[in-house]
Amino acid sequence: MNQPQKETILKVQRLKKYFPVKAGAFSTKNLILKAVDEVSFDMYRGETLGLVGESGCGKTTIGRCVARLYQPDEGRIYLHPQQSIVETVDLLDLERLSLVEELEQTRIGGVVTKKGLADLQKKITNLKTQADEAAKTTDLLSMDTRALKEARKSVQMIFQDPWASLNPHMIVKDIIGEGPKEYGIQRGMNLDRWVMELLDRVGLPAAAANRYPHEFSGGQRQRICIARALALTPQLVVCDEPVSALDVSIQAQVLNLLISLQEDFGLTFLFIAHDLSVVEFISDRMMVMYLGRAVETSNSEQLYGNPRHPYTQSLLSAVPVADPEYKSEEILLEGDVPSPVNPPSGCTFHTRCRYKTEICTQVRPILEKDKNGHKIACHNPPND
Amino acid sequence: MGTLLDIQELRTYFFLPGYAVRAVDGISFTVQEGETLGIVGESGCGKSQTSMSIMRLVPDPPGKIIQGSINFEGRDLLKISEEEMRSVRGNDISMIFQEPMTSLNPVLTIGFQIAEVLMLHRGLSLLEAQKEAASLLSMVGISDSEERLKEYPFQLSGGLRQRVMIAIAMACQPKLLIADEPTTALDVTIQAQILRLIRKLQDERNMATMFITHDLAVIANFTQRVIVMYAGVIVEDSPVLSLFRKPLHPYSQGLLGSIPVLNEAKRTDQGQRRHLYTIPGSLPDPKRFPKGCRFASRCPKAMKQCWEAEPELVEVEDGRKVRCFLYSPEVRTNPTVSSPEVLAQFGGKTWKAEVQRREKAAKQ
Repeated sequence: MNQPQKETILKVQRLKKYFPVKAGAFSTKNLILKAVDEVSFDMYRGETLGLVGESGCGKTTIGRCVARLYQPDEGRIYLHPQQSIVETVDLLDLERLSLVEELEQTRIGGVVTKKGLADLQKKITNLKTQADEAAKTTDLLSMDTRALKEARKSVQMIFQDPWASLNPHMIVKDIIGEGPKEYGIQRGMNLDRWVMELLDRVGLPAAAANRYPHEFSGGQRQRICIARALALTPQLVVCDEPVSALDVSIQAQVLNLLISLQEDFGLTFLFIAHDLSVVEFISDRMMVMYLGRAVETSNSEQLYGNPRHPYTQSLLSAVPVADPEYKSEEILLEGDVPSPVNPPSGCTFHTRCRYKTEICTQVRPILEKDKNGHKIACHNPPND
Repeated sequence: MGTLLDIQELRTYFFLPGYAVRAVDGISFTVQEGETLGIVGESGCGKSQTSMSIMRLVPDPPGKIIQGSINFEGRDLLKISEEEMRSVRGNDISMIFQEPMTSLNPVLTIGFQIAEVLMLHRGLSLLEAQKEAASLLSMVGISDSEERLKEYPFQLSGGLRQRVMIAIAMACQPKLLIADEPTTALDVTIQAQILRLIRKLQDERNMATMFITHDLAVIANFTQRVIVMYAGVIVEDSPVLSLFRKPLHPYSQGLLGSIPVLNEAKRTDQGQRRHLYTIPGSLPDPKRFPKGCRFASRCPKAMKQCWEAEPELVEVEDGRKVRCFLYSPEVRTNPTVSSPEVLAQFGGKTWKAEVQRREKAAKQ
């Protein structure tokens, strides 16, 4: 797998997804929940990127943005990025973002005229249009509908709950064949043959084709979901907790299936899960998230062998190991994850961090290169 | 250390239209005072129904405890009246459930829900109970407990709710705590907090704990003895160290082999991705268990006799019991209840009629 030239298949830049939430049951005021707050990462062909974090850290939201089930508020998601386009768009975007900041500042300061504000606003809109125009060919977020439909073939998704993600009114053959039919890739006999091949590939009998989802067990349903995701021969598959709803022995079967399919179809996986041992098993690289932000990325051996960010360290130490003789150094985190509606200032982890200093409460750390290809977002990483 | 709980040949069946589901099919085990026992198995293996049977909370109908005895401190819990059973629940045996949101009452403050237990079982007045409730909350690590008492379950996070559940369970200082998947719905960091809390309370009070979970890692870290269940029966009963060092039953071996281990090499020397060990197939249909060993169809070591008779749970080493012909040729004497007369006696008239109707239909 260690090819010298890794081809970037997906490039996510400064992704933001905010959700409006009601301030109270009877309130008309809306608060903003920052589910994903400026996350950037790359994915390379044939690899598995594991996304881990506690519930509410935004990992599912990222998966859904990549599959374009959500419309992000800000950022770029390039499928097969071209260096030149990325650079052009990046320049325009950065300029726009600095103007947005300026706009915020002047609004607070309140010294500029209405006209000045309008000018600034116009400039920002212009830059946005320019950047979108430049990014149109590869950015999933600024594509027109036709191009997006074409791109959707390359990005498919497997969901967490196999009970909720299959239409109970459709037979398996139609569920799997729906995609190819919609795109007019295969029809008639060819389509049937393709469905049979997929069923065989995911380890289901051919007789399954004419049955309804409710006739299958959880593991078999997840196999149907996998077959459906593969029906359009995608390049990238977003796996959102594909094994969390399954029993241990079934979980191992499905993980093995995913691994062999990845090799056969040359797939790239974005693997989202909260079970760290599962993610470590399947991933080449991992990204740890906390409150909508990436705190550490690294290849998975490195991350487990030598976690750098204090949050990663405590997260790993909290994972129980299936070995009664194993004694880990427990770094117990106190309290709960703060609310993403009102996250702490500066580094969002500072409220639970053992190493916090003055700067942590004020300045937001950026994700930057550390030793050994690690990237961490921390002002004073421990064990230096 | 005396024996606290002694379960013999417990069978809990569910009488559904046309057939009986053998959720718990003849299990025997004991819990010693102060011991931490883990029960592990996949969904549908009967581990939760075992705990529900001990508490006599099996929904009836359709569930019925059809055989067996549950001796708790010399009393058979299956023979005492519902009135007496109510005083056992909470006082002597307490339970923590998996999903704290559905087991707390959403329209009552948590302060009232804790105080209720104290008023019922210890006869305290509301005021005394409120005071005691506050101290229980601080015992389970909830800060500013006085304020928290006035809150409703929806105002608390998952971890805090589970702490409240623990406070309620601990209110009357039970001798046995049954924890049914107490951390499954929680994140790992919160899980670590809750597990540590249960262990601390257990040490302080010398309370026995039954830990029911599907998570082998939790079992490894938390328990002294493990019972592995498969399809309604115990297949292995062993001290935790020896089970993890050398699992005897092929199912335990498969279960331990199929969990990914942290920090293990993920590729072979040739650069191939390593696969996990898997147990082929899936659980047998609980409507009709096979004649022989229930695991035979998935077992890599199945022999001819495994298809013909079910093995007995036999002590093979000091303190280790296993149900497998590889270790002992002993055959199980009464594997399951299949006589239609006995079943009909528990299932009731309508159930019997339904079975007969279906049989007739099948013949035609």
